Amino acid sequence: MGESNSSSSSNSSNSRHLSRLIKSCFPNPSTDVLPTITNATSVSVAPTPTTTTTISSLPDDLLLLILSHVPTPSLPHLPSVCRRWSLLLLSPSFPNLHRLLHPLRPSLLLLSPSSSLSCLVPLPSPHPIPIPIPTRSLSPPILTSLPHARLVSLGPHAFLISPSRSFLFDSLTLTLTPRSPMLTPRKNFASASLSGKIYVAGGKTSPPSTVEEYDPGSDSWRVVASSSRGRYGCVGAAADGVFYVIGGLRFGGGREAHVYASSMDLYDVEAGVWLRSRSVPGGGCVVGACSTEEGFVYVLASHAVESSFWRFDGRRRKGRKGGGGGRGGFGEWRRMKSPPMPAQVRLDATVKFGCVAVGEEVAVVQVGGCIDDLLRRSGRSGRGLRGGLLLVYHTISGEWSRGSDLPGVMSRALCTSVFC
Amino acid sequence: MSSKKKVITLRSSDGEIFEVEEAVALEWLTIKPLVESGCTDAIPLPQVTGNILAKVIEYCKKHIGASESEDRKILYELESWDADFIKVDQGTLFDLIRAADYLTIKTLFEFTCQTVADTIKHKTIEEVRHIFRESNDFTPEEEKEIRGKSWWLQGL
Repeated sequence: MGESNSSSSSNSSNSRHLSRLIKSCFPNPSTDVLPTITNATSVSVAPTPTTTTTISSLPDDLLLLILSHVPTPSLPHLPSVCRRWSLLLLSPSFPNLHRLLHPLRPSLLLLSPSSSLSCLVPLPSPHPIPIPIPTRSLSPPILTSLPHARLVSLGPHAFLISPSRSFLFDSLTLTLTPRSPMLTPRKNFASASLSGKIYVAGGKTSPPSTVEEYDPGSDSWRVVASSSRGRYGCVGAAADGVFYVIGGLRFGGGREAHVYASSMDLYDVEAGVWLRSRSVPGGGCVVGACSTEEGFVYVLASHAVESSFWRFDGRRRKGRKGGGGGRGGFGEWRRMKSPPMPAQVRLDATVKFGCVAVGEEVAVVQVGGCIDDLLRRSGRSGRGLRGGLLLVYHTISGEWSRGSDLPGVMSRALCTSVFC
Repeated sequence: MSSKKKVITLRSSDGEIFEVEEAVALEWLTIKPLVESGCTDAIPLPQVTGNILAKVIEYCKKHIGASESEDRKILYELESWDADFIKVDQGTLFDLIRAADYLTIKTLFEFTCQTVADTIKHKTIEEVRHIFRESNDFTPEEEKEIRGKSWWLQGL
């Protein structure tokens, strides 16, 4: 009794003090802030310092705002938590609030043949942490078709193209929908998206080799060009209207089948012509490539004992924002800081990397092999980093950082970037 | 108004006195009019305890000016700092949300709400209940009915 009395009197003194203060500060107290403060003080929940605040003690409007920050894939089962949550989540105002507040972030999407390891890694982040994708989202049929497949980013979606089947992966709902397959079945080909359309080229096809275009709107493929060079295991990138077909094995000459092609072919999508092919300056084997929104193509090449990382200026149009346009220009190669690979790593045919541009970052993900080469060679492959290395290159600062290791051996995992 | 660094005095619910730069206090929309009017008395904040107010001030001091920075490196470091800042117990986190809401500090409010939302993300119902100490107050029939009603949230 006495305690409650004293607390109420202290409240009222606060209130009085405040109103005196407001009077002294506001000759004309018509501002919005006045009711807020007086109201809050008179209600004064009198926070008891001994009890900690829990989510159930928060007022409805605050809980509603918190819940509206939860990304869509995690929403559907939340109303089952308790009565109060279901009332808030199923209220008519929730969808609008959610759409208004929910920001789409670029994330790295990894789909693994062992679907329990598939995950999303939100970037940019100082400490990228993989978020597992529930196994139920990835139905078994895709797993068998993964080995020679490619994954292409399409905003919040990712397009999964295997030699004979295609799927659209929606990263907001975490669902897969079947789509039309390519016209020519091919394995280990180059793929990229440009202005909402997907392009594929190279790979192992029955000749002749072609460039195909996919329109997600009409769910249809068409051949847009033929390509002179067959490239097996090549990678694709797209920047400023150009589709890049990079690296891979040169074949067609018969005997040369196992020579790494450290060059890239450039197909101008708008003009429908091939531009002059370029060589990656350092030679070696192209193990990964990707392009950023700015119009740069990043190429990771392996030279047996070391790796090199290159940037190709793919910005063709002039009058871009930013004053740095004066230097360099389309076609300029620049050697960037090499990724900090753990010691004694050989980027050979066994250790595989995926290279993905996610917003302003380039993620290099190990998608096969055992990173600890020496251990692997001596037959102790049970030790060492077996498939979870994630390195992130920040294109603005030019620095590399290492993310949390991925949940396990991401052997043959497919990677791309999605907004979710 | 004045070009000199003016200091604003604040008093927490438990009577602790804090001093903040005017520029920091101006970001707090609830007390902004008081600050702008040149009030010199200690501003009482009856909804915020001293330890929470200290955290709020720490956050706002760090973020003042930096959030608008164009320099990616600064923003990157800031994000790293934020990650350390928010390593607090659940009670403190909710207190920070209440304080940010009460004082109308948009950046802190968004950040703290997102932190809680990130905790909920990709969790099962049981995990969410356990984390937030919520108990299942549905009858089995009701729970089934709610599940049937919730599917459309997928499409948001």
